Amino acid sequence: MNNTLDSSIREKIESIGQLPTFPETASEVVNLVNNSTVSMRQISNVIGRDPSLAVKVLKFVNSAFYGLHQSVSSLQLALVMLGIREIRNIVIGLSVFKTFDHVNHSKLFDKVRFWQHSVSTGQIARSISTKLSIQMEGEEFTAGLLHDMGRIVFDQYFPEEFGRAWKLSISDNISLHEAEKRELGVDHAELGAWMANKWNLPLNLVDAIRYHHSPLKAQNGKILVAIVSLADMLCKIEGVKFGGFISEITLENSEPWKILLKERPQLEEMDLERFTFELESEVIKSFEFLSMVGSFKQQAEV
Amino acid sequence: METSVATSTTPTINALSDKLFTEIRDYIYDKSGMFFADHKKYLLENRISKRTVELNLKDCEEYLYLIKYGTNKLEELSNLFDAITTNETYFFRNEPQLNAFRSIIIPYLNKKLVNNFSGRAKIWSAGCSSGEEPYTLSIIFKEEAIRGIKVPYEILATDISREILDKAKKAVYGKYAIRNLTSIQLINYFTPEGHNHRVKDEIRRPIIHKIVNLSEAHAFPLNAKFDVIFCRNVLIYFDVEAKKKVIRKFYDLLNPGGYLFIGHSESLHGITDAFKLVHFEKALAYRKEE
Repeated sequence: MNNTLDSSIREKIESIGQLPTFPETASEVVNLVNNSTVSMRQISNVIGRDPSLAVKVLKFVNSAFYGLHQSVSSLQLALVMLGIREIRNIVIGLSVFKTFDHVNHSKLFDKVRFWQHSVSTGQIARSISTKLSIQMEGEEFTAGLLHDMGRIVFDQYFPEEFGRAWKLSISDNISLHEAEKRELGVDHAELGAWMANKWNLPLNLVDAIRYHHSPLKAQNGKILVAIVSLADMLCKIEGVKFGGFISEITLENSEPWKILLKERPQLEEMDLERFTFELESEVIKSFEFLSMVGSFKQQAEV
Repeated sequence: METSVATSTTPTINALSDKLFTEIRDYIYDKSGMFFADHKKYLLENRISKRTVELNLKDCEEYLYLIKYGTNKLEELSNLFDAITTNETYFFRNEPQLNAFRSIIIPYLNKKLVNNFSGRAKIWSAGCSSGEEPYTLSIIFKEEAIRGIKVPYEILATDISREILDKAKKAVYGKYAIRNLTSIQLINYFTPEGHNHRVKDEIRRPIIHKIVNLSEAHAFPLNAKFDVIFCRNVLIYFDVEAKKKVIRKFYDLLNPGGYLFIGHSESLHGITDAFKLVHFEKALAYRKEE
């Protein structure tokens, strides 16, 4: 697995020492699920040791996001209804969210916009997989939620350079990730993947983070990467974006589109106009997620 | 007891159930290409309840029946579209499309014309109504020229109605039309006339007004080629065949690389394969390949 990062950046990050850590419970869940003989009871016991996580998982499972017809009152039942992988993905998403929730950001970093873009990308990724009948077990939502997390690390450890990249993207009408490469030598995708790998997150998720701007390069779970990449574009098209200039986008010519078209030829016939209009409502729905987790309650409702 | 009888006989308009909303929304999309997203349900609900009361119908379900099977179904659909799109227009209507025009298309035209000293960008505002759209585009060109992105341009503004074109030529507007303008735009590009505002000559000069009936696509009195065509909230009134004809004509009349904008929630899906669908932030357009 290729996990190199520009050495100067890596040295700088590692010298700071205090890297954000991934919650222990979530790590344990990830490790358990890697083991094929794990039982639902084991998973629910581990999650149950962190009551606030357990409550959040249940809240999420019962939210409009899943639209289940009956209310799910226990982790056991949630596991039965959604499956082990889906619950693992929810745990990863919520845990990463928690890890970064109390981080102090620089003035330039608009925390609410950042998470709105992340959550909406997850939600749109889910709409895409549903539309194309691709089974993803929640991985697409979690990958959407995490795809930009490198930016939080940039903002934490390189606020000056990140600020310059931000300004460059505006003055030169270029995308923020292009500006990051120019100012910092790596972009947030690379950095986020490096972080995800350090946390031992599943390889599919690591690749979805690393290649969401260049899905053709992905080695693991190319379809997932393509879905997240397309969702990221559509999210920006819907106007829910985090900085940078949005140029004209021809989805048909984009990398993720080509990957998905190969997998699902019916994409060619899809009413893309209508799908775009429908996503407006999805994005509004996804803001509910923000008020459910994290400390956004007031801000997210604005 | 008596009160409950009284309430039950009072005519009330049922709110639109989700199922009925979906059915009406899909029917309208099929017929007109205009889409109502879930969060715009209230809009459709308001308009339909209004029509239901005006027509003395029992409920919205009966209204759906009327637009589907009634003898005057086409006329009623037109009425509904009028109610939905609000016939009155205003300056800088639907900003995302105009932002794309300003920040992406004008620089593109600037690049395209850079070595062509006599060339002009040609824009067609098809169905320009009382003229707010072509004047808005003219203002955007001027504003961008001030910022250094100069593009010589000509705007053709057409409508089917002589009366409305006369109004467009007069270029005098009241409060409603100018509500989206900044005070700087008002000062720079308008002269006050009593309570109204007249568009200045420098904005009017590049615009040519002409009567064109879009449903007679075979006989458009035009031979120029265009770089951008705006035809917003007009095609919803056309049936599929008429729409196909006019879209084909638009395609022929566009330069390679040219853009077609239709209403912000309108779609040409199933009407044409000739164009490439392109997305901008909160807006879409159809583009002829370069």
